[in-house]
Amino acid sequence: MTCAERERELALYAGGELSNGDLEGHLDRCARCREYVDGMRSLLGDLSLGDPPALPPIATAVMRRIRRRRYGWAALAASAAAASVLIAAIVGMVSRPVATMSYALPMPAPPAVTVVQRAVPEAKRRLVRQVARPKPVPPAESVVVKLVTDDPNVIIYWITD
Amino acid sequence: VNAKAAALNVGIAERSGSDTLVRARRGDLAAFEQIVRQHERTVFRLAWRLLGNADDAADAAQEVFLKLYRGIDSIDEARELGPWLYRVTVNAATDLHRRRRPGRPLDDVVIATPGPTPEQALLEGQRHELARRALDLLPPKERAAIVLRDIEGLTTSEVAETLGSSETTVRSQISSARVKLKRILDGLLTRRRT
Repeated sequence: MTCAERERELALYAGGELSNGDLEGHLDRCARCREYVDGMRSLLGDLSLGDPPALPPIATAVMRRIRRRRYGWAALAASAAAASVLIAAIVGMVSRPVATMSYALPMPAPPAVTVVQRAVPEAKRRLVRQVARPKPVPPAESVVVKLVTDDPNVIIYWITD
Repeated sequence: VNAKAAALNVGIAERSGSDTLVRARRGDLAAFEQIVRQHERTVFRLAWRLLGNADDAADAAQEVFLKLYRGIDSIDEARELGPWLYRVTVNAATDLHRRRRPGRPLDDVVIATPGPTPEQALLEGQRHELARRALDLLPPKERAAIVLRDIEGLTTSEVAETLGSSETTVRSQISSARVKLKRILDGLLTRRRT
């Protein structure tokens, strides 16, 4: 085996992964291979030189990305839910015929009141006072209209004389 | 007594780490952040060794921890998190290495002061810079093997576990990587000498 063919063995030997009598015997006799092993050890030392640069804010960046992902979706879901409730409420109001009817009912105009004054003698006035003492007026017959809507909590009463 | 105390401390630390992992799995973000802060330096250092620059290493490290967040349910509590992080970091760095810009040429590392031989003339920082850039020229598996073994100091069996290979394969990758690195650097120094 030539020295060049031993290079991979020598590389392992330099790193401490290989040790055998045959190779060590060769190294005792071959200055070129000893130099190769020394050079390899120097190279392995050079690889370990140098400190890593300052640690960047990895944890902060990672947690920001995770929170954005987690709470970003939650916020989107909440907005979508709120929007759907609002849309449902609007659609429900528009399609509720009973409620619409209650707003459309015409309200009766209040009755006109006329006050008439005449000149009346004092004696007669007294009599009139006695006679015209307010009598209990029988209540007018009322009409109560009850409008039931889709919403059990909303009932509309329309009361008219 | 010291050995027993050390063993006890390790046991407590492992249980504590396991508890943190359990809490993180339940969605406790503070626990997850604790895990990230505990391992970020190791992950970043390995990524930097594999990629050669801090920006790419930071990107790779972020990807590693986001992958941990997404796959935390699949992490085996009984095993240490370290080997998993090593493996995922190597994969993330390999992916990034494929996509990133080509490395700078070796020739632009200048020899500062002339000396008896070019090797002696190179300052320590320059020798490291050359070796690190020469790493970039290796195939990904060989680069990962030599970084884990010769820089991170893992044993051959640990490297094999991390890379998902056999020890025989790893020894072959390590020997091949070392020989190639030496040829690259020797070739460069010979060119400077002439």
